[in-house]
Amino acid sequence: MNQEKMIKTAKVLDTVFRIARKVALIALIVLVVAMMAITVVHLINPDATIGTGFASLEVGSVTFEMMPETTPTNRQILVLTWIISLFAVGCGLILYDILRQAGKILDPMKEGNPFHPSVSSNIRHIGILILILDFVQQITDFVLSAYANHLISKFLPSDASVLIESNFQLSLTGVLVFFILLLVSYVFQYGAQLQQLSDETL
Amino acid sequence: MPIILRLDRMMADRKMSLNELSERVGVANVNLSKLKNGHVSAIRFSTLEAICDVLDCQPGDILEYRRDDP
Repeated sequence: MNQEKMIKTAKVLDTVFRIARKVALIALIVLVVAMMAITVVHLINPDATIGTGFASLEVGSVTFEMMPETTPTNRQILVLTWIISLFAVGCGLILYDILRQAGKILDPMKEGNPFHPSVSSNIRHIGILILILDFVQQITDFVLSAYANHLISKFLPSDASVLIESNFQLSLTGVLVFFILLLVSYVFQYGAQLQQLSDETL
Repeated sequence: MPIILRLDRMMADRKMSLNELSERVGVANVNLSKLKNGHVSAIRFSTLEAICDVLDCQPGDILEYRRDDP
């Protein structure tokens, strides 16, 4: 009965992961193509406005109206957009691989045997990817806040001061998840050994 | 593995084929073949009991211990 539930759940999750993988891949392709198109447009016509423009800047509850001469240039906006896009593509690729590995874990489960030797290595792989994803997100936060700081200090009046935290802080969540998944992978590794022993017993 | 199964010898003594033994013991032909060729790591008492019952022998007649060379 429990095995039937596991097989059913594994099949449903496999379908969900497959759809999520396709959506992630399409989103990544669309993002890269859009960025290429924006860059080409900028190269052809450097004066074309990218997006809605940065006429105002919101920092918390305070909105700064920018003077026309202090508005960021198209090139600066393009650089910021490229930085965000590159990090988004990096995170998207890692997420895609996590979904792919999760799909691989479900393969033996769909056949009713979760203790396959490949499952433990796939779980460990996911743990490492989550650690990398967390690290990339930390770097993204740091770089974007540093760039935002740079832009704000450049475009605000000289007597105004706004501080955005741009210190790099290592989050322990990713490390914790990694170690938990590492332990789970050892459990599955031991389970696979017991399963092999059981299969070889007549 | 120092434990050797002498199933083929006992089957020859009883003039019994692998197919007949597998049918009477209730173990798949493939698995019994693995057992005969020593490709299993363990055997259940229930399986051993069924084989001994069909072949009318003692466990010692089909199991042999051979010390590994040092």
